[in-house]
Amino acid sequence: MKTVVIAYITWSLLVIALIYIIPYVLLKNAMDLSLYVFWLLASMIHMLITIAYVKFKELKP
Amino acid sequence: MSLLMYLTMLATYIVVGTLIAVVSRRLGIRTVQDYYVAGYRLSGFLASMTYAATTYSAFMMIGLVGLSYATGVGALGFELAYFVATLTFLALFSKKVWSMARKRKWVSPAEMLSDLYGSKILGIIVSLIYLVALVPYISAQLIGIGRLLEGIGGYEYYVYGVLLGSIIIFAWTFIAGIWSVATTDTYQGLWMIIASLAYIAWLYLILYPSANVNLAEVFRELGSKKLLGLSDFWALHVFLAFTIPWVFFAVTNPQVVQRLYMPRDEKALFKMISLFALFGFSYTIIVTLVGLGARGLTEAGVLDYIEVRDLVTPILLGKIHSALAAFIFTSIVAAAVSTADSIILTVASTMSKDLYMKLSRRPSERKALTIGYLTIASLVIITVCIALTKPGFIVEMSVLSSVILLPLAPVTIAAWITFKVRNKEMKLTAITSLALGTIVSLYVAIIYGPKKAFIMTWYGLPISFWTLIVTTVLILIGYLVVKMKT
Repeated sequence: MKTVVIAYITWSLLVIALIYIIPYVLLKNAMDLSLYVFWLLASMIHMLITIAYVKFKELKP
Repeated sequence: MSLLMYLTMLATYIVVGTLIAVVSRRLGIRTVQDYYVAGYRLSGFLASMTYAATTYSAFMMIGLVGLSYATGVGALGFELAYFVATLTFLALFSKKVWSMARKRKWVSPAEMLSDLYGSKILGIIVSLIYLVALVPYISAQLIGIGRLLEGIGGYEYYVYGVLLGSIIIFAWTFIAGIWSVATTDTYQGLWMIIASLAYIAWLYLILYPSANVNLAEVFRELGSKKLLGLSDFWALHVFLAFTIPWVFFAVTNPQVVQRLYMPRDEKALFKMISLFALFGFSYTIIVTLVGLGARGLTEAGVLDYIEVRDLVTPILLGKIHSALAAFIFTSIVAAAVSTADSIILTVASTMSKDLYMKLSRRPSERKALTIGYLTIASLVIITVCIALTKPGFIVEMSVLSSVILLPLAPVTIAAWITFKVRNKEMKLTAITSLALGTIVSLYVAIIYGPKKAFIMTWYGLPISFWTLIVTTVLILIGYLVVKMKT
């Protein structure tokens, strides 16, 4: 259980950091939808992982 | 014809909502817990919809559409930063908070902090911070409804809008407390998401083809204007100023924290988080695509450039069939009402539980409920009076409300992480950091004006960043002192 919690916290901090860093470092001057798609995918993957994590926590006593 | 359609749709919305609120009385209110937190027995679906409708105000369809139109894709990043952080907080803390709330019989978030830190004074300070930060925010929702009606019927409709909004908010809060708020929030949340889907479908599937606009060309044009990257507006300090207070919204805003207490069991809590996630994600994507789509129409020469960004949605509504426009228009009223009534009920719970119950020598449940009713009535009257004077600074203050609430973030997170903060040192540092953070936010707002204070920087970083750092450091000092002592 502890490993899963640590993994989820690490993932969450990473995705929050990436949401700030990637646009300003790599996609600042995007001419197409790459920045939009990056933010969309990052948050969608995080949403799915969060739903799975919450379900996992619900199943564990 | 158009005005009649708007008023008919609005009347339908009000009648159906009021019927739902009246029927929800059957769910029974005997105690303070029943009135404010549904006796901890809200279903997962109701909990998720009230969480979503409370979170997403009229800002989305008016403010975020306009922000996407004027500043491009950066607006999506701003809103998704909030979304990702909120899901993280919900996943990490909701189960613990939910479980503690029913064990300790918490009703308001101020009561939660007061209980966790074992300090009455802390509870009172937090209650006062809620009042200072949230009254302007409620007034802004009424101003929003007034402006919407003004837009369809003319100048004199502003007053009707404010009064109508206040009557709906009062009725749907008063009738059955959280039961009427949660059931009408569900109704309004569904209205909001369906209207947003209809809005985007109309924009891309009807307006674009009928205006002979090529979508690929439009996006090429948006790219060349830097609207698909980070436009000049989104300098890093501005992005930080916008996102820092919102990243902690789920922790600092009492109306959403209180919703963690309500699900009837763990399954309902899980459902609340999952459905809210799907709602929030879809709503954010739709709203920002509408803003970008509208800007595309401007670039294609179909729409004149809209200087005042909050007018993007009202102007677009003028181009839609009146029935659909009225449906979308009503969804914006619903978003404002569902946010305002939830905040009013939360502030009322704080007044009756944290001020009356704590300060009274012989507190009683019945009197606490009466205090709650009086608070609801007083808040509605006060916010109507403020909204009728159309003060610019109130809208600005509502922008700043999240900054004023920000010092609550480290105080709350520290308590949620350890649940062992009942000692002198932590009490002292919590009170100091709250007082200091709030005073600094208010001082800067008064000296520079709320809007400027929101994005101004010290050493290249926004005020909210420094507020967060100072309050976090104070809390950490308290924690380390306790660690060293033990």
